[in-house]
Amino acid sequence: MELTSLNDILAGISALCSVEVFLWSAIGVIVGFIFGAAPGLTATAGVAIATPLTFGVSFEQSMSLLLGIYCGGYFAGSIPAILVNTPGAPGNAATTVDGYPMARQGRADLAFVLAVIGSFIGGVLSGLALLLLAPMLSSMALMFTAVEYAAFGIFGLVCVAAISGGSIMRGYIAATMGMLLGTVGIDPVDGVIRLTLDIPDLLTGVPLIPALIAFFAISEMLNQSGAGALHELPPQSRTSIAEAMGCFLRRKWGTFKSALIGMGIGILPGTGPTIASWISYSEMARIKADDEPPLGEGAPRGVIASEVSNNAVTGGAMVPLLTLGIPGDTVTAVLLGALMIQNIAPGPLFILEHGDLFVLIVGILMLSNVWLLVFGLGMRSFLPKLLKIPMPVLLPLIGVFAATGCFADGNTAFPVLLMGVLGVAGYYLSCLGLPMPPLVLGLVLGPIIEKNLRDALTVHRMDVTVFATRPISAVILAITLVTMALALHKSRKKP
Amino acid sequence: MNDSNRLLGLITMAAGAAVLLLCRSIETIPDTRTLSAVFFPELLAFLLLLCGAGLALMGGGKSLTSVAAKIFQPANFCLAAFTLLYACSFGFGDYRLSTPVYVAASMWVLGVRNPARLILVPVLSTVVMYGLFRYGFTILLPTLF
Repeated sequence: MELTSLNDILAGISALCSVEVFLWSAIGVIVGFIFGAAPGLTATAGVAIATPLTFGVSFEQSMSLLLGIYCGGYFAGSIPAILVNTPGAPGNAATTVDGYPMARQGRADLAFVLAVIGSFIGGVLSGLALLLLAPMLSSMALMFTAVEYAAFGIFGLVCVAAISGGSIMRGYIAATMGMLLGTVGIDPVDGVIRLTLDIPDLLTGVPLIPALIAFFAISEMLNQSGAGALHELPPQSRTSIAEAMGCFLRRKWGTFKSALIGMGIGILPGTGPTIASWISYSEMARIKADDEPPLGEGAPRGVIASEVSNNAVTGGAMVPLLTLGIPGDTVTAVLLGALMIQNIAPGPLFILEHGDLFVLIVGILMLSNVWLLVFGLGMRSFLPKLLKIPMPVLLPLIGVFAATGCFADGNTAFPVLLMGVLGVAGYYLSCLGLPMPPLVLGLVLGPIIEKNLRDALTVHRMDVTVFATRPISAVILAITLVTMALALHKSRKKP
Repeated sequence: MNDSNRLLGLITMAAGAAVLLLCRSIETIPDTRTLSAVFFPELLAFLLLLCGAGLALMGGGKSLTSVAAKIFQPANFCLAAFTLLYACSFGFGDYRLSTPVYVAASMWVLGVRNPARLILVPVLSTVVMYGLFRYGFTILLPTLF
């Protein structure tokens, strides 16, 4: 904070208190809701589409619109995740694991309120961290090398035990299959072609969004149709805000930890909300909670972990962007372009030279989270209407929604075909008991682990002891081993 | 063989073996100073073989009769087939035609018999989705004319 003078703070607050900032930020959040909730379209797409529109507007208007889309988009993927088991964006995949079972238990409203408030808490805490700790946090991020990234990726696999649906062995098989899918395409290190079956469209790998939609939406759609009599979602009970707040208070440490994880991962360049939400989810699994169903069976803490952390990424990802000029995730990569449109070059001198703009950006981030809370809670009244659609009508509509979203992801037919094939295959495997969430986790983490493992070994001349001699990596790997051993021990004790 | 774990284990082993075979066609760069491109897929394939064998030996799980009954239930089987056909249609068909046909056919196999619903839902959903993506998100959905 020593870099920001009182003058800058006052100038920033004064710029924030204008009607146009409030209005553009509200518009941004609404646009973000639309992009986030539509499978195949993400906050990144929304910000990328809106960026060229900011050529003719002021810095305040531009940032209000784009940061509004950023915050709204990261939250809104939870809406279809809870209602139809289809994450609107990869960062909301972990929300489906408990959000959808909650909807099937008649508690969609509670899941939705938890997602809204959780996103708000994550967003505000990360905004505060950005304001108070940005320079210090960015120097910490520079300490992370490929060794630590690889260790972090392996740590993410701990989550498999929590989302295996009863059998760790089947969970690890699913995660391994996911990681194998992640190796398809041109190898990022040597540049050779791997496992593409001579299909040119697979050269760039298995795209994440069609795979997510296939394993969650299509697989669940077929699962519902195969359930014999089509079970409608039960009547949904209305939740009071006090009840939702009670969930947060009971899990205050878990909520705070999820926000810390989201911020921490957001700060690391090249990561994003997907890995943040899964790691938070696995951390939440380590918290004992006898007053709630087990994770994966409609536990409110699962939704809290995922939603708090994925929105906490927003403030975290702004840290390296503003202090080093390095984007923390895909949206901030596009935001870098938007800042350049405004003739602003983020970097080590940004806070020193443009303290007022820095305060304004943090303020807009906070304001966007307030809009998110207001609009999110305001949307609750529409939920019961959506959930009343009969299953025989809803299931084909999910198919159309999913296929159109996949097409939108790449503007080609191949992702849709891939979605169909992976979805049907995933459904048949799930009939045999293979859980889908670890498969998606493997697909997300596999490429991160492989690339960083190989980079680390290249830099350290194939010396594997580097993972034990570097302190951060050694601690992460030790926690991973202990957690995995405990999970295996627990699963053996189960009858 | 009357348990799903054994079948899943065998499928996993088959997948592992298939990947191992495919790995033989991956080029390796000589004198590379890091793990080769084939290392990770091979490692994962071995893991699949190992875990698959473990699961097959362990057995248990659901009865295969109940799994087969679910998979081959006519409505379920038809919906899976329709979804695959619909996904294929994006490569050569017209979104405005394939979507209402898919929705109507799927609703029919899932038990909807109300004629008004069978016409209105497919047409309205196609118009809304096409309008939203084509004009809202400016994404050119596949069309023939």
